[in-house]
Amino acid sequence: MSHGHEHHHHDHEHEHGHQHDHEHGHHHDHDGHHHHGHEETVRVDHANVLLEAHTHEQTATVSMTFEPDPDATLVFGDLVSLMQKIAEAIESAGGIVGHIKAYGKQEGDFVHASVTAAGLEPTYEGNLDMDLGNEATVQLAAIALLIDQDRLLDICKNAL
Amino acid sequence: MADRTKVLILSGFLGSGKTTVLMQLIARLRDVNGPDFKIAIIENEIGSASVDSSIIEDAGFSVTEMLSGCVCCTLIGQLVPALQKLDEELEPQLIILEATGVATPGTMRDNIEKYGNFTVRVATLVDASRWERIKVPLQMLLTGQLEPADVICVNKVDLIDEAQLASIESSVREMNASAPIVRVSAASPIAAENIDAILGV
Repeated sequence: MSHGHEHHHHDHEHEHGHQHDHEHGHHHDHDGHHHHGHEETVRVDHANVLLEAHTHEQTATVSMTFEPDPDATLVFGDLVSLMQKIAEAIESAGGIVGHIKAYGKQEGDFVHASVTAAGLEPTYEGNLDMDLGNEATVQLAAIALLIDQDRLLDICKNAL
Repeated sequence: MADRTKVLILSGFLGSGKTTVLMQLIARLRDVNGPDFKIAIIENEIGSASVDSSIIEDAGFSVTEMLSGCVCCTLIGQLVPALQKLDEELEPQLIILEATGVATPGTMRDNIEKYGNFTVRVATLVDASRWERIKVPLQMLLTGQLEPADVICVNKVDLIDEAQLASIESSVREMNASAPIVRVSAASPIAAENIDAILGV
């Protein structure tokens, strides 16, 4: 997958150079955990990817929702390759992969996959060759420890 | 006083197989008790997208989602009201709460039993394939997950050998000296007696 560029109301340049929408928010809860949320949209080939990142104690999470263009499709197997790239980058950065999981559903057919470490075979159920179109639900979540949220977000965007 | 509804907290580190085990638990409960056996499921995710809920819903079960936080801390105030709402609306025989992979179930149990009319069982999963990698850097979290467990389920035992398994169980015992330990590989069908041990029936 390769990045496109979009210009919106509040563009923001990251180290890898592409531009995208973003929002920041944070709150302090009752017992002192600090959460700094971040949302943005990245353009890849024939799809928008909505990314949401936040931190929970020592855990960083990036949730992605893929929105293929009308008449375009994503192949779920490509997401599994993406998950493996993210796992490798997390471990290269000194983090621990918590869980990277993805789910696709279209017209009653579904497929899901799971990666828990670089070098371990992904587990999956369903058809990895499934083409997911504009009406499909396509989600991916990457959860990692010992790595900060911004680093994980950059890893995910660079892997797209 | 009405019977207390049972709550099973399914705990365990990220990627340890909680959803996979949950699917087998509910299948077994339906097999044994019939299709009218009412099970309510709560999925708690620290992310904003719930992949696990989608998987469970595809199997024909409705799921109550609690997203973007953890019911052992940031969402703890919402946990008992969510359980009470489910209990009143569905009148389930069992509520299964799949915790986030970073939750520590002791606080959850304390709050549920203190503020709700429920009895709680904690089943904690251990990922045998990654135990050696995570046991030192994440010792506090793993201890927080294992210490309050009523039963410990060592999963993915097909990926390690007997000596590694003995080593895992030895270090697990340092965190919880008494809970029964069951060995499973949830990628395959789990033996009925092991499912019953997890459920406590």
